[in-house]
Amino acid sequence: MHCIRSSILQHLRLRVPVRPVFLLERENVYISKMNFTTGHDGGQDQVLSKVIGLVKNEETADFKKDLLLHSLDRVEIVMAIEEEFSVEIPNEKAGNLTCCTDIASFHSL
Amino acid sequence: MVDKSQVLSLCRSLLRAGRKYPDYNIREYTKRRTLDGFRMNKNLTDPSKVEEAYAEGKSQLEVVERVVKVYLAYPPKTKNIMELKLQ
Repeated sequence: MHCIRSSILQHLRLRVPVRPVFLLERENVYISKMNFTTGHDGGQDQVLSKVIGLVKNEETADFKKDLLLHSLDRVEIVMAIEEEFSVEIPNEKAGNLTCCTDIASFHSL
Repeated sequence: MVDKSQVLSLCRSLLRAGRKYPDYNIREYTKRRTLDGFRMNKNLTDPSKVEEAYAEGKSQLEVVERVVKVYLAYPPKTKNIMELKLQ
């Protein structure tokens, strides 16, 4: 469970798919998987879909009980989603968000 | 006595205020720093320490809001490369 939490947060922060890069070919030494952070917009979409993919069919996975995300993580997630979809989620309502479907209901898409 | 919802709304206000910076570097820094700061003090239980940390956060919020106005007066002329979409 703890690794789910850390991987969700890691995706939120790194924001980019990992691309393998081969640097040193001398003596069969390869350095692979350098992480590049790129700009905002393109990466976020993939991040969001990855987050959702991580949670998979558990759209109703409770942030606190199932995914062990505490309220600070929730704030971070809500902020990332606000930025991604350019919506403003008011403070009172943000306290009530407990799973992915709640967040999705804010979108006018 | 500062309660949890106040702390969370302070965090949110700091993150929101930091988003207004035109400069990519400072924007990312404020986001990183607020989350790190809040995470570091996450486990404080002593009420006086909590008050102290909350007051520090509030003063930083004032700083951010003041400095944003200065930066908005002189926006950068070119987009930072980190903000460009991957082709």
